[in-house]
Amino acid sequence: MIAFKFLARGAVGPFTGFEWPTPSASSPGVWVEVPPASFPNRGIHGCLVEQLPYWLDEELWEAELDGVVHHTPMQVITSRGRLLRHVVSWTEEVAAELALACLFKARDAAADLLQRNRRGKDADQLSACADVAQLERAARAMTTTGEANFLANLIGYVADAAKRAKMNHVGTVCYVTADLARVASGSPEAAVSERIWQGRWIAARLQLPQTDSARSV
Amino acid sequence: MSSALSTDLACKELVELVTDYLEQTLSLEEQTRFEHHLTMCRACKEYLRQIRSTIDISRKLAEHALPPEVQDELLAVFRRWKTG
Repeated sequence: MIAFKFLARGAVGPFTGFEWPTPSASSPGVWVEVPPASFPNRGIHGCLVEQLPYWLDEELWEAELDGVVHHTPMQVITSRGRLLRHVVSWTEEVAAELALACLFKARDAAADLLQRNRRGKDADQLSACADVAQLERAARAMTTTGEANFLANLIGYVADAAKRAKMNHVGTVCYVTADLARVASGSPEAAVSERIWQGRWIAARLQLPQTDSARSV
Repeated sequence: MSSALSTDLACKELVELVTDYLEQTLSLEEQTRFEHHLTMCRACKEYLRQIRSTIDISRKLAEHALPPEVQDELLAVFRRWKTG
């Protein structure tokens, strides 16, 4: 099966430090296998398109996974895998674009909730924020009124996401905005849907090949 | 499919789990939570790096690397500590 792997710079496993054999111009990387006895606790980890946002890192690789397959909500684990190609279109700039897409989607969701709760002025003010610093300031100001309520908490998420976006902590922005969806709707499924949206955003932006749907797992 | 976000892990929990993580005794679910936390928390990532580095350095220390007088001194300290 085709899946993806986020790795640290130099095709290095971000947790294990394992140096993945990289493909040459004419052939894929060498197969890497794990001993069957340790599977699936030790295995080759990959992600389907919709699982991409959980594991953002410096390099994105397309991989072929094979052997025994173990599906989990956040990743796919197999007993063998190899790297096929470096997705060089995944760059810091694209990661920053993803952060902004998530952030402004969260801004719109928060503004919509404000509007529906008769706080139209605040909703308009939030919606008018077109850059990260402005959005952080506006959202932060709305949370410092001493109100400890649902809406203040929600706008706090927007302020936090904006702060992380300024720091280029893209993985955290994706996480915070997905969690905002959960809090806003009161349903954990909303966060999962948000993650799926994020994964599909990455796939569309980078024109990645289709993978099996994590939803069907 | 269950909610992936229900697996959130706090920094404090990560610190408590780090030995089990390094000894590879965490369940698959705990390991996933642990590693997902690392993708978002630079402080914990650095903490794990430091722990790994400490373990690597400790492994290089051998008993014979201690000069005899230092070994005697250490033993004396331990004996005093036990009896005192």
